[in-house]
Amino acid sequence: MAESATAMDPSLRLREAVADGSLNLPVLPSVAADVLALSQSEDGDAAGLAGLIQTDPALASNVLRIVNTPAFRGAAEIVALQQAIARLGMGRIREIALSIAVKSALTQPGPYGALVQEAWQDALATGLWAREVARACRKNVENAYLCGLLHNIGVPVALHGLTAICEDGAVEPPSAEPALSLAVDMLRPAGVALVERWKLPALVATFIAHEGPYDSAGEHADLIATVDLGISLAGAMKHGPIEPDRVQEDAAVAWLHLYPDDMQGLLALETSVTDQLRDLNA
Amino acid sequence: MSRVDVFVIGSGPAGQKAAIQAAKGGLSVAICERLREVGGACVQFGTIPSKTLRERAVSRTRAMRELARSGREELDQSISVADLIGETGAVLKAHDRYMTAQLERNGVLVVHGRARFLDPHAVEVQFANGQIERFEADHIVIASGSKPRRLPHIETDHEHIYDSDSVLSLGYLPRSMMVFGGGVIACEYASIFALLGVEVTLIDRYPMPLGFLDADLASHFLEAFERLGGVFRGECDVRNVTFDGVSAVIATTADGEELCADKALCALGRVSQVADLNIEAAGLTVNDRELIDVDDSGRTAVAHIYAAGDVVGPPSLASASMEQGRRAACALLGIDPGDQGDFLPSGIYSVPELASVGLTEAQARERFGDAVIGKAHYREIARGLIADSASGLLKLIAAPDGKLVGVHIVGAAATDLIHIGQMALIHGAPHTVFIENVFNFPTYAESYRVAALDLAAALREGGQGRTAA
Repeated sequence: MAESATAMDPSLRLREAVADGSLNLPVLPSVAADVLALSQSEDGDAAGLAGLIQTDPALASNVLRIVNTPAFRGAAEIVALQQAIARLGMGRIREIALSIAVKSALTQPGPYGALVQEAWQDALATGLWAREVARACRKNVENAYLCGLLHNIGVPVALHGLTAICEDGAVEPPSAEPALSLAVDMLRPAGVALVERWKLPALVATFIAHEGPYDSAGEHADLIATVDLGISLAGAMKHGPIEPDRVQEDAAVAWLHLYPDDMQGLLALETSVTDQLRDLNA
Repeated sequence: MSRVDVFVIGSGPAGQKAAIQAAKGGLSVAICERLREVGGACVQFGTIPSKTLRERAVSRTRAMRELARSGREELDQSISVADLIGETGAVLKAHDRYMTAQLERNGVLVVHGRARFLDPHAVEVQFANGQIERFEADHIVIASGSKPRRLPHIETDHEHIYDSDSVLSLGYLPRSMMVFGGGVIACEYASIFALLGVEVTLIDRYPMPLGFLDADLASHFLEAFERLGGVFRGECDVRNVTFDGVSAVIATTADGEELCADKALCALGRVSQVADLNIEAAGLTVNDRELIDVDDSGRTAVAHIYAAGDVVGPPSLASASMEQGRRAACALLGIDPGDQGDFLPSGIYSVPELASVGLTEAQARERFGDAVIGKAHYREIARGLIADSASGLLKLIAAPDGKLVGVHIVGAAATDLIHIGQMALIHGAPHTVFIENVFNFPTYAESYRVAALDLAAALREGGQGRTAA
């Protein structure tokens, strides 16, 4: 009787799948895995990155499309990956390529497409803001971007799992609101499961798994606060220009010990972040 | 509004010692730190992290070398900076706890905010949350420290081109790195990263790195740096440094040459951090080097305001700053701080370590017309051979009459070992004190005995010691 009840309740089945490791996880395109591996290697070079991206025509064309948007493009049109890397730098192209690849893996058609899209917007905006917060605090810029980009990856992963559970038609997929509530509840374990499956840096899993005050996060406390402030800034900019008072009271601001003029310096980057966000979504 | 007897701006070595000395003298003291933790740049970005990183790099490299030598494991060059920094983070936390406890134990009020003079006796503190509190004090000690010098032709972005405050945020070891500068910070980081397997190019406009040191020490450092794979480009006038937008930092020299590396570190000195203090409201100004002028006791042009540490200029050593802070507090308490003497040791935590006290050989020759030298090489010392640290040198400098005037050491334990020489200099001991007394064996301190014997031989021969030739 209990087994039957579980079988008919998609939320229970999702929780069970997360708990026993059988959650249906999206597959990371191999090129994205290679791009990520290159980013963590001492041997990464511009030619290698261009070559990698070119192995996936869809990815290559998407990168070229984005680098030709106003936020990234200079005076001349960018027509080749090597040119794009020369113009924007290896690190930025790597970030763009990774963002596109992760997005394509997660944003599959399904009943929760709009929710996934929204989570993705938050992730991108958080990554971009976290990078600027890290720069202002003299913290590692690359780690902040990666953790920002993946901070809520558990949400689309859980929604993906929920969709898979309901695919056989035996049960009705929950409506958007309870599905999102469930996904947010599963954010940490689902996110960690994906990070481990995709062999993303262990730091990302540590970041996603952390719960509690900053002073319980040990050496990762500053990174977590950096990304948390990125989350706050990303959330605040949804409602129009960010009001300084809205974010100055944030616990992450206090932890990072950012003064009002430090925050003003950050908020001055809002237009730049907005432009990059728009173009990454182009 | 709060009122205290003494308000100290900055909790680095100078500020901390000033605050504690003043509190021990029975005064009410507040100390203001703009960063989250006490300790200032010394703890957050400078002395403690770089020395911890060095220690970790040296011990790990040694351990891996031993493993490789025993055939149990290949030498693993893939040391993660993040791991090393992580360990450094634990040291910083422990240091913060210890210092905070020490301040609390002495009843010092610690406030974390930015201080700004309102008038000669009033300071406004802005907290990170934007709130403001006014403090009034009978005495104020300015110990706000320093920050990396920024140059218009070097675009420090903390992602590709770092300064000494951000270099420890490096997430991974780059394949190559350019280090601009030839001073203490540049040479420390250049040699540490070279030890970790990074291809380091040290670039400076002077012909030798660490040119202020005794020439033998500077040469020894350079040779050791080159043995680690480092390259020194002296007399190199860099005109522009920028990230090329691809994967490299490009440095363009005055003669048009382009040098490149994955990352770059700009370590061209530090400048005092007084711009935000509004010292004009207190009746103070900075001199043409943007430093605050003080007398021997640390008193500024305004009698009740003192300054100590990097804001008053060289030697800009944590050790000297501590003493300056203590002396400033003694002065405002009206108590005798005691005689400091002329023998201030300096320590450089590069690979290898360097330490110095007293005159260099060149300075001694200039002052006395000649100098007598005694040297001990670590390869002659049992401890050096046992510890696989045979590359080192201890150099004694004496005036022509045999009076010791300087001690210079490069190699393992140099920064500790120097204090033996410092004590000898302070007490005017003859070189024979190292010959006629017993040292533990085997120790690096035995170097003093060997160098003193060399010096004695040189004195008998009326010239250079046997190892100096």
